[in-house]
Amino acid sequence: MGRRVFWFFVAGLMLGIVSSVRAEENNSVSLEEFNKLKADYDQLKQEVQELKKMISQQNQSAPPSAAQPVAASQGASVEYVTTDEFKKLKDEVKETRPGLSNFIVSGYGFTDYKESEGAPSTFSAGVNPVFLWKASDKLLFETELEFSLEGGETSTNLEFADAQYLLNDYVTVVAGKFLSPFGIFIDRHPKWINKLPDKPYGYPDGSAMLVPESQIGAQIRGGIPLLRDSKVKYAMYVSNGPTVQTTTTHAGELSFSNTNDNNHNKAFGGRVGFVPISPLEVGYSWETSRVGANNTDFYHLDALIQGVDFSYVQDIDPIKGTVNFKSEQIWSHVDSADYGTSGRAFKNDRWARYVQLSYRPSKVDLPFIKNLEPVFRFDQIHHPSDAPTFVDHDRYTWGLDYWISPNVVTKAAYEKDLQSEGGANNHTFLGELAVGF
Amino acid sequence: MKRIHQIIVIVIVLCAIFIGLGYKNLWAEEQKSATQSSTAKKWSASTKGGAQLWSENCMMCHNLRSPTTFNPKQWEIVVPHMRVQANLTAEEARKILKFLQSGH
Repeated sequence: MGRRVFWFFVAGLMLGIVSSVRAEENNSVSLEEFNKLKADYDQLKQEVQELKKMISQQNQSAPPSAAQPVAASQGASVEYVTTDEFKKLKDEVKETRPGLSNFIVSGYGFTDYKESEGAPSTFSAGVNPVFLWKASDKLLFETELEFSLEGGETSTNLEFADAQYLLNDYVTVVAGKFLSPFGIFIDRHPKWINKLPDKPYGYPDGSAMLVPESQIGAQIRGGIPLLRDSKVKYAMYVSNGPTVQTTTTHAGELSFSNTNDNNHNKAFGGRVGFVPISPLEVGYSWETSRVGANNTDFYHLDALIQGVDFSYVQDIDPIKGTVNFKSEQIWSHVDSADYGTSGRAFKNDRWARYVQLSYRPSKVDLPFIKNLEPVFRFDQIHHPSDAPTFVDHDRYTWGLDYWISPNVVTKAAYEKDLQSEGGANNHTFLGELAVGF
Repeated sequence: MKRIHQIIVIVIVLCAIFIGLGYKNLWAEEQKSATQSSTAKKWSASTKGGAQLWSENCMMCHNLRSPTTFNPKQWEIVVPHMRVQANLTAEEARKILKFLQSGH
């Protein structure tokens, strides 16, 4: 055993000596090899110098391309960003993701409370999401859906769905189902914009409509600047138009839910608004249409709806707040006809009007007071005396809004509705929370 | 009588289109020939800046919403829609968009 270990040790020692000798042999260089390597080195050095000279000449004759990154020309320089800058860059990158860059959901939601004489008090709620899509710089799409609770069920409605093409700086072409450009209230009907919980008479609110909320057809619209900051706004449309109702209870009324036209004639209408100075606008609206259905006794009936509107919204420093005044008058005329309700044809002229004034002390320093906005509205509607079931209304509404933020409002209102013969006077309390998003 | 109404409306519509197109050309020529002159401003109705146009036009319908309500990319979608809704000119919309985006 000991002898084996001895010879193993000797063999290892020999191997180590041989290895070290070979290593020394590998590290040693002969004079001939040294001279050859030196010659190679001198040649390479000369070539590098020539290359440097060439690059320098090229840089002097032609500046680097604009697309060349600055960092590259600076060699190994390193740039740092702060956390905020990094977050901003990250957000910008996120915004460019497909599906987020050209599409947005907006709209509003609300909860209403109504307590009226002779009827159970009730809450109601709804949400109206608006989908906006910018397909290109010139082509836009918009859609609004309406979900609301009515009669124990959730009702849905397509408020509008249209494509908009920006033809030039002053003309936009719109096609589809769009909000009627009639008067000024329809554009301002969303709950977070309307100053009161309900709509004035004449506008779509379940009954007694004199103007359509939306149209199915096509329109052109836009604004044209005039001298000295004055401006003309216009909108003109062609659409299916309304239908005259011939049933006993609603004979002579116009129905605006004309998703399929009832005759070959189309309705023409529009609005022209004039803005002489920025807070003031006056406008005239009209719609003319054939309203009788094909192959009926009422086919020959035509209708003409006209309206004038006035709007003034201004910050006034001496009273430390904003005054908002709006007024509209609507006339509706349908050709006379005998619907069999009164035994003779009756003159089918109706009108509705309202004035509304609100004041918000937005420039007062008191935080609670500056968010309050008292509102007053007086509205009326008049129907032909021979028309079935309808009575005239004179309504006074006092309201108080509290703006939690520019797009969140709570409203409380009291209404006194004086009705003509056949109807009882009515007192109503209304409450609303509306959120625009 | 109603037929006359319809004809009048059609004529007005056509006039509006031609006026719109005419204005576009007129505006382009004005820009070419006298970009430095005040004549161009006369047609553009834009001695006003974006902040003023935003305040005046938006307040006519609703409360002013802060520029931070939407991010700059979202304003690029919202403003063209509001341009149609409020009958703004392209120039007014451009200025308002620039102002809203500068608030970020």
